Amino acid sequence: MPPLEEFIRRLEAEFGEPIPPEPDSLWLTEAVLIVESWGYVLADEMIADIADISDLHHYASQVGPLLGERRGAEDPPSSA
Amino acid sequence: MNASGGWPATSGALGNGRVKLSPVVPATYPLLYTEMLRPGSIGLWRAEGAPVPYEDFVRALNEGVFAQMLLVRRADDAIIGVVQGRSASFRHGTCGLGAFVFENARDRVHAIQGVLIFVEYLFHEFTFRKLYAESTQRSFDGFASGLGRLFEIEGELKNHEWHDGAYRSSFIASVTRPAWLGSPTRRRLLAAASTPAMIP
Repeated sequence: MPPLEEFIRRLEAEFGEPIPPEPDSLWLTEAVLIVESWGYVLADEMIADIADISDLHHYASQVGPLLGERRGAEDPPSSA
Repeated sequence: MNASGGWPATSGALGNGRVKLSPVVPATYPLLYTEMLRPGSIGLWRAEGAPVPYEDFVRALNEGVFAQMLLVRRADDAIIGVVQGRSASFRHGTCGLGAFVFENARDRVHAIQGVLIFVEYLFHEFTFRKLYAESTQRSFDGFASGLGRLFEIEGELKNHEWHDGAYRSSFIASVTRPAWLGSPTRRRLLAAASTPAMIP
């Protein structure tokens, strides 16, 4: 999992627009779907605790290396 | 349903690995009534927060409802909300969309996924061309980021409803079939639903 700044940049690239100052429930839901498509499958308890982008990055950082399971998806798009 | 009697596996209809939709049955009426009265529940549903008599609530539950489903979190089988299609018109190709998220849902991510699955269900299984959702400002704040990329606002009723000590505006949002079918939101939802690791 890249650092938070890079994580944000990649999410913004996926959304095609800047992250809202206060992401709402719909935005966070879609962000979870995107992060899971990168292979970071979050536990339900983690999802229940996500209130902002920092929480999402925090939990994705935890599960990525631990689970190590890719759901047939590619890694987060490279910054190149 | 498809030819084998099951819901299309790739449509995401009626569930993914996180959330499933289940029919509303009488045994759940007391729970729905109790949750309707909680101040932290989202979506002023039917009685709009008023403590109507239980018998009136049950009587009104299915009025004008075309399809109604419970949002169930798979991990613990907790009911976290209800979604409704109501005031359906097959002449005009429209249907109202309602969502009610329980205070005890803890998080909104599962509930929003359930609502999106229901939208997919309505467009996939029926010929609606447009869904309408009337929302208070409080509820709208939970999904406002979809404005312009997933739905449009077709109307605003200014200072329309009295809630929590003040008049508040409500909004009429619409999701058209082309907007939904072409949305990244739908693509992400179906990708999650059809990925083997997400299917129990």
